[in-house]
Amino acid sequence: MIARLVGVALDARFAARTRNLRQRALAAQWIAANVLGVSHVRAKLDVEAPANACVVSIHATSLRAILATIASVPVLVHPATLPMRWRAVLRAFGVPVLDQPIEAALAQGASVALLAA
Amino acid sequence: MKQLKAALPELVAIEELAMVATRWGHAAELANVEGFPIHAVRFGSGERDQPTLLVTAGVHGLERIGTHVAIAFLKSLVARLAWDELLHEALTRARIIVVPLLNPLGMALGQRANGWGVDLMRNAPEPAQFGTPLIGGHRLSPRLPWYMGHHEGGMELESATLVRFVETEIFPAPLAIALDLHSGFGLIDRLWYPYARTREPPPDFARIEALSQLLDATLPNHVYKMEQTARVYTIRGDLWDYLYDRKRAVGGGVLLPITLEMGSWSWVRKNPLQLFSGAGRFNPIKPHRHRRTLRRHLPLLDFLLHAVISHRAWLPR
Repeated sequence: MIARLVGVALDARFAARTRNLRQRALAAQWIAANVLGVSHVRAKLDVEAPANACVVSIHATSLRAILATIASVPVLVHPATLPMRWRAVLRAFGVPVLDQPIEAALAQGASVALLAA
Repeated sequence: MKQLKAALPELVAIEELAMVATRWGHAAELANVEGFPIHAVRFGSGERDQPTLLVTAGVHGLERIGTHVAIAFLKSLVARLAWDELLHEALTRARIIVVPLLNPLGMALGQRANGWGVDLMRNAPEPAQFGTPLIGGHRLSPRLPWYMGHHEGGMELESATLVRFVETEIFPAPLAIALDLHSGFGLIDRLWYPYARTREPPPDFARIEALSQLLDATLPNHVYKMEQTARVYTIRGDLWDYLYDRKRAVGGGVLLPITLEMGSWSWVRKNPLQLFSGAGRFNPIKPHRHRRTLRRHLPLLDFLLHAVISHRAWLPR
């Protein structure tokens, strides 16, 4: 399991190299799906990705729920809304999070997710 | 060209077997790559809606042992069809199709890729956007291994031939198991199932688990480890991912593509000197080890044939 997660983390470093935020959101989706897939979890929801970039509010009580959300819809999670531990884990896996202003993400066609308190 | 053909005794063996096989089956030339034919041999009913076992090999030119195993399977079938009434009966209810050498030019040249440097197992259209760098497929140069082909080049003749053949011959089957023979990774023999492009479990995961449990129960102490192709690294442009998704989109049956990855590192461990030859890294060199490999996988092929025929008894709906 650890070796497989290391494999995902290595792949993630290359997948998320781009500066284009839309591409980073897609990379986040692929990485999150792979992290879950390592433990044979197929957590994708059958939801339509929003046609236009938007800001969405998500309710998640666990890290797995956050990963499932990202695996379902290509979004960049706003790191300031995440608990520090979750942020560290996402960083370790290489899941890209929002590192520019929300307006910049929307302008580049990337949706942004805010974790609801 | 004659010199190249002399470097390919496998093709001579396949052509001889194809001629003999026409007594009980049907042999066809699917395509011709610069004078090197790609053959397919079919046994059993001509109706395409029968359960089907497809065996392919020689996708990577360096992995000759895969083609040798396919030839050994063909030889065994031809010999058995001369006397085995049970096999004849089985073939009224199922089909066996063998494509023993998909990349003849690559094998003649002694290289993994085809004649134009393209890795056929990374050449499917609509490749995944992300994957393990370099080994998972790249478009940097055909001089490097794992080259996927040019962006606008489309599919190579060999891969396009396989895709077209599977779409016409295999897709109509209610259940088809495709076993693709490879070598070169790990110390043990592995059976890899989709996906290669992502570690997400495939939609048919329950069916694959059922097949895995059936294998464990039917061949106790077998040598295989069944796992997802993408377990260690992810591949872009995998042909079986593409065909699996195409079949699911078309609907009307189940295609379970499985890759047999023979653990060639164990051969190298026993005979380290073969590490210094190109073929040695992917094939057993010592004659006794080669013979052992040829007979090692016949029970698996026999099991898969029976699993295909009796799929109603074990395949979850």
